[in-house]
This record gives sequence, structure tokens and C-alpha cells, in this order.
Amino acid sequence: MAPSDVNGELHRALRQLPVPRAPGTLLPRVMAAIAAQQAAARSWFAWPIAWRMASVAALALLAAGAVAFWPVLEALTTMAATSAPLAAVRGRVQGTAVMFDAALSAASVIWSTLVQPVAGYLLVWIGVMAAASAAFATAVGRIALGGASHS
Amino acid sequence: MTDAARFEAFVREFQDMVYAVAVRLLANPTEAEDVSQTVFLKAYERFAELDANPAAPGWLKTVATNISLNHLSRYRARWRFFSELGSDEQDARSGERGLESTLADGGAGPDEPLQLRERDAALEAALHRLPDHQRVPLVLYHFEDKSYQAIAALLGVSLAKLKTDIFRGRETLRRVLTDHGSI
Repeated sequence: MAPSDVNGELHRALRQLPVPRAPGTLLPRVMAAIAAQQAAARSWFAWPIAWRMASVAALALLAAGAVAFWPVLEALTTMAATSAPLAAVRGRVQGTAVMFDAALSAASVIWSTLVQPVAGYLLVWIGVMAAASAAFATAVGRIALGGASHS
Repeated sequence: MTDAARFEAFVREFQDMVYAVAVRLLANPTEAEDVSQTVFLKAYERFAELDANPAAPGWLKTVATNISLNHLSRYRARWRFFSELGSDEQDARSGERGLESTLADGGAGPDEPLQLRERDAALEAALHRLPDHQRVPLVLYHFEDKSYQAIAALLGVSLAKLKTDIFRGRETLRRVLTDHGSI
């Protein structure tokens, strides 16, 4: 048989090979990856930079408004405290305030004796773990979401 | 039908075609599945253009080919640096077991003569066992209908080397056909 005939026969044989079937796991993997992408896209860090800056500005405005409004709130509270019809309510509130004050004192003692000595180290450790987790999640996300190549 | 349902139907329609391109180029069912997933994720980003588009199969094949070739050049070479050549045979055998199960689910119907099915299985297995530099050009030529020049440009090799690799790969496959009495 001439070489060109042999090559033709080989070509026909190859073209007639049955198409390999995709595994049954492929479709669920694809849909799960898409769902994960959509969930990630909703997180604040995936927002466009303009949106993130706008959200930070809105929060700052809210905080500034609360600070500006505080004296008004204090004035209203003072008026309520000196108002006679509110005396009974004030008594109950004062009782609650005493209990709250006692709880606050207890918490303060616990904080100063147990937590404060290690608070600095704890904050540093939390920051390092958060940075490591973010880096690991990014790396895993790139691999899991098909980051094998970019074409 | 919702977008997700339409895309799911899209994946069902083309998953065999995409997987076939990847598994023949990579000769590894696990890597082929990873590449196929990547292809469909890229397709999802452009689903508005691809949905019900007659050009979608061609686009999918092109992307599957490019990602498979990138995978070969970027990841296979990296692992090969650290692995012994002898372990490639073990990888090939374990990959073959996976490929055999893939072929078992393949489209060869029960009406096909047993001899033909055996020949097909032997041919597919021989293609799978070829080294990358012989298998990839053969797959691109015989299954993707690319010219020698296009393949050489895609792989970044000279035309002479490409022809040599294809010749040697064909010799191996031709022996399979001879053994099964096809030529």
C-alpha cells in the first residue's frame, strides 16, 4: 500500500474513533464553580473601586451625622430626666444603669487583669492570620477556578 | 428557561466535544476535566454571545485547544523537571486506566463489530501513549484539521521538526492498524 494510502487509512480510522465522553462530574463542577464566582462577585471586595469609595464615604457621613447629632440627643435626655411625669421611668432606668455599671466594672477588671496584657500580641496574631488566610484563599481560588492558564 | 438552565443545557450539548479535544491533547482524563471546566467558565463569561450561536462549537474547540496547550507547556514541563522519566510510565498506566473508563463510556455502539471496537480501543490507547511532541501535532492535524504551517506556528516549532514528529507518531499508530489487519 502506498504511503499516501496508508496515511489516508490512518486518517479515516482516527476520524472514526468514538468521541470520548465527558465524565459525569464535569457538569456539576462547572455549575458549582459558576455559583462560587457569583457569590464572590457579591462581596464588598469585588465591588468596583468607585462603589467601594462611595460606600466608605456614606459610612463616614453617617458617623459624622451621629457625632453631630449627639448634643441634641443629650439635650433631649436631660429634658426627659428633669420631667416630672418621667420620674418613675427615670427610677427604673437608674436601677438598670446601676446594674449595667456593676457589670461594666467587672468587665473592666477582667480586661485589665487578663486581656490587656496580651491584647497587643493578640491583635498582631489576628492580623497575620487574616493576611495568610486571604493569600491562601486567593491562591486556592485561582487554582480551583481554573487558573491553569490565561488565554 | 432561566439563564442557569440555558447554560446547563449548553454545557450538556458541548461537554463531550470539549472534553474530547482536551483528553486527546493532554492524554490525561483528570487534567482534561480541569481544562474542560476552565473552558466552560470562560464560555459563561461570554454566554450572551455564544448562546444559540452557530460559531459556538468552533469557539469552544479553539479555547479548549489553547488552554490545553498552555497547560502542557506551563504545568507538564514544570512537573517533568522534578519527576524521573521512569515515573512517566506509571503516570501513563494510571492515566490509561482513567482513559479506558472514558472510552468505555464512548460512543461505540454494540452494533459495531467486536474487531472494530478492539481496533478503535487499541488505536485510542496508542494515541494516548505517544509522547506529547508526537501526539499533539497528530491530534491537531487529524482531529482539528489544522495545516502543518498552522500547527508549527501554534507550537512554536519548525516545519521540519513537526513533520518528523508527525511521521514518527504515524508509524506507531500504523503498527496498530497493521496488527488489527486494517492495512
